[in-house]
Amino acid sequence: MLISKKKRAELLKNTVISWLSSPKIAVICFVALGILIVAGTIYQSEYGLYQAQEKFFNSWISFIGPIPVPSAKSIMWLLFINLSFALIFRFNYSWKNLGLIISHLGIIFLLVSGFLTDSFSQESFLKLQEGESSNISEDYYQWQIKVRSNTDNSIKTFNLDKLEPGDNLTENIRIEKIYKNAKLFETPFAGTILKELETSKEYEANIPALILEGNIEKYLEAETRNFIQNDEYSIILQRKKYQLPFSIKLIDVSRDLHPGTEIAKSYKSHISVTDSGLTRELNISMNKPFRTGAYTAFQAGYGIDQDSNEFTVLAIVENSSYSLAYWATLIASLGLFINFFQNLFSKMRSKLDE
Amino acid sequence: MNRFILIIISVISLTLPALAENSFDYELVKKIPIQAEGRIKPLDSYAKYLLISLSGKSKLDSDSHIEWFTKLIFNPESSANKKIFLINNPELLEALGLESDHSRRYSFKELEPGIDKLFELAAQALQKNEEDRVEIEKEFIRVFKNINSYIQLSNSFLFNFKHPDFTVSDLTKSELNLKSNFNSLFDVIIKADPIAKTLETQNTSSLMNKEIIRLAFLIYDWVEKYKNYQELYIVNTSMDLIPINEHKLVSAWDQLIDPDIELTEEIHILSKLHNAFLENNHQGFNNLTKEYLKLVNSKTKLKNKIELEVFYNKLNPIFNSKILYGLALILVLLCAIIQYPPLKLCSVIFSCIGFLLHTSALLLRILILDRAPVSNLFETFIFVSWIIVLLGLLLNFFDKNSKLGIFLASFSGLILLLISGKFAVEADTMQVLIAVLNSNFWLSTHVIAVTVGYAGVFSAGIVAHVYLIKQIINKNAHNKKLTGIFLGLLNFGLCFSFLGTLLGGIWADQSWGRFWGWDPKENGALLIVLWSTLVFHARLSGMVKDTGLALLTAFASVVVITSWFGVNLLGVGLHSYGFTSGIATGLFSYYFLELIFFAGFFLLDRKNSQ
Repeated sequence: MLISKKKRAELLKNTVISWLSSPKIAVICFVALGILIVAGTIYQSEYGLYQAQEKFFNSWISFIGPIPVPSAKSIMWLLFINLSFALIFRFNYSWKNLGLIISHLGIIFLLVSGFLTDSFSQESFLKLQEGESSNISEDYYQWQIKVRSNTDNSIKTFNLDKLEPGDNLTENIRIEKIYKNAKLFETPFAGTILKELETSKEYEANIPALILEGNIEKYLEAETRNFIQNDEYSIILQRKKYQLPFSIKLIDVSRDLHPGTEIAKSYKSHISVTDSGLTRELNISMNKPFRTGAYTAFQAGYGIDQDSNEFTVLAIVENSSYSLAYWATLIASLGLFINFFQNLFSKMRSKLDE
Repeated sequence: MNRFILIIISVISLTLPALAENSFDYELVKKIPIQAEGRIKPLDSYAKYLLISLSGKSKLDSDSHIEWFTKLIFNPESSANKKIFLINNPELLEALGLESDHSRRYSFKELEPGIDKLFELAAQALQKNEEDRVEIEKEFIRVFKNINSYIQLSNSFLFNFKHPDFTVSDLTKSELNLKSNFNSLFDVIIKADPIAKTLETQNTSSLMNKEIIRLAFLIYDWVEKYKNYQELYIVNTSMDLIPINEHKLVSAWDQLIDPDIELTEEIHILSKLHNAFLENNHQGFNNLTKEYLKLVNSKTKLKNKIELEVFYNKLNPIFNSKILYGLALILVLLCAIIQYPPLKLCSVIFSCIGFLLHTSALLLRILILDRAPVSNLFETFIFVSWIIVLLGLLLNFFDKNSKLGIFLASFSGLILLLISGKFAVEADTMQVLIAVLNSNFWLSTHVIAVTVGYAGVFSAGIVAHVYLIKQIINKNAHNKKLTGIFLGLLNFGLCFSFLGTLLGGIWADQSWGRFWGWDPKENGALLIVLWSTLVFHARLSGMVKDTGLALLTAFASVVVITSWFGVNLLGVGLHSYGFTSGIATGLFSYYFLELIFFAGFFLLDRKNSQ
């Protein structure tokens, strides 16, 4: 180690260092994480995965009733600090502890990989019909409103989750109401009405809608009326879009069934990818994604639309640090097994000595 | 490996008494391949699980499952009075306007008057979302599906029964070269060519030609009727017996109603087989079965797998090892009470034989299914119990004086296999895999590691329970050796749980694009890892001493069980046949028992220390 044994022992006398590197902190973190996991799991069976993730795992603080409690993210940072301090100041670096040291290093890598993924990875999807091609993917959860001025063609972009009723889109168009999930209905007498629907547990299935005030059509709904305009402005409501550095064309999508059943054996998309001028064909299927650079495309869905065209849904994930988690898994597991066998052998040796 | 097992099988079958030719050889019938639930399997397995799912039993009075099944498809009239439909809820009979005779099973004849009503009620229930259905509605659907399958199966040889529709005059008989005046649909359908020729002459004057035209119409009519009939079914239970290529089998009806499919040799043999059965011609039946098997096996090339599966069913390894573990447990407990060492030796022997059978069950399943033997709840029980028994036997090997290893092996072997029986109906049919699981590499790494982890942590929990019980009995004596054992087991379990959970992350990253998504099953697995890690860190930091350590470890078994099944309960409703509340009740009884255990421990421990 860089710091001498003596120096470490001295530093460990420091209350803050001693406290931060204590295994008691780890125990407290485990208990807290355990409680959050149980709560989050029960919560998601009621409100869906996305909401549970946002509430218990991906945020810093979560509220149980009015009481703020640390969320999984902050606890994992605490665990990270605790682990690092323990490794630097507390661990006894001897052969006997080899397995333990390696496994703790692995866990540190794992946490780092989690933090990186949390901050930098981007998930989106690409829905393609056979024959269709695209290099723009869409966000699962985030919606945007784009307002284009007809006079100077300037475009203003708003993230829907940042908007609130009362906000102005332009100087004379104001948002009256925002719905997470709603649908426009044509009625015989009352004309078009916007009806609020229960928010779906599958968060990405919700269709947001707005009621606007001003000299423009009243309703903006993501599925059937996502584009409205007046003389001055055009407004569009759409999923947040991402430009991909490659384009994918769907040649054929297929679903294999186990013979004589409706149980799917596999889904497969035959695609051609154009990446920096080079076009090649390949297959994406369950358990066999396509990777290029930091991007990975996965087989995520299959379906047939109203016009009986087959379509595929590819999940596009941008994550440059995914391999770190693989290495962390390997290192931490290796450490655990080394530790297990070290213990086992020392037990057996002491038994033989008896 | 495969060949080796086949040699064993043939040796075993040599020792069986030669079957007299004056009875139907059902052992041969068992080996006929059928395609169902996405897999080609022997009729033996098919019939067995059909009977269990209809009646909840694997045997009917004097008939074995295969005898019952053969009678059902070849001579449905004769089995219409057999009480095979399990009715869990007597209200169902009331709803159908039928009399209850206070038995749990009813025959087709008894239920027949209520079928239309049942159809109506089940259709209503099916309109509802699965999770919104109440118990009686689930029962309507279950019984309806069973009757549905029953009717379809009893019609599978309808084409081969003599029917007045196809009775012809002597003249027509000789013109079409028929064997008899009384014919079945099949008898006349194979004369399609001469019938077509007669139709082409367009001579409708003679009586004979009129009769042949009538036959042609009737064939058309029957085929159309069958097609319409097929569309009515909610579940399709056709007998797909006839191979058209290596991977696809179709039913006799499929061949008959599709004008583009040439009738194959198999359907002719099946027709003769059926006739031989009705005529009680034992020798003919047995010879035809042999001929049929030879023909079919040459096409499917699955003879070895099919015979292995029949052997598996006959060996019934899970059931038998359950009994052996049970005996071993009784003996080892008895030994602990009366301190008579030879009892322990017997217990070890029983456990070992049970373990061998248990092992053979796993190996046979791998050979039959070509995949790792863990893909559903039933299979995890078999595998987890196998690992724990192995751990127990190893413990016994290293510490021959202690009874702990054998207790661990026999106790968990028995309990876990007993529970597995609960899920046998839907799961032991050796299911095919849904798309995301259909990856042998990940099934045999991630799932196996996770289940080995379950086994390790759970067995640590059991030993910790033993520790606590001993502490109560021996008044606060701390058993250092036991502590070492349960910590070792916990460490073993932690290694595999961690590896398995993280491999699951890699698998998820490979197929869904995210390493970790806080999905209930992932969370459950993580809880086991967290809890086991917590135990070690709590010890390291001095937060707990001997008793506390044992208590925390004992609680680890609660965490394992919760992650193993509790998580399934949260998700979309489990669909099960007749065991709807099985898991929930079982789980909550287990929680209740543990609650009593921990409460009891605290009370008695307090009393001891006073």
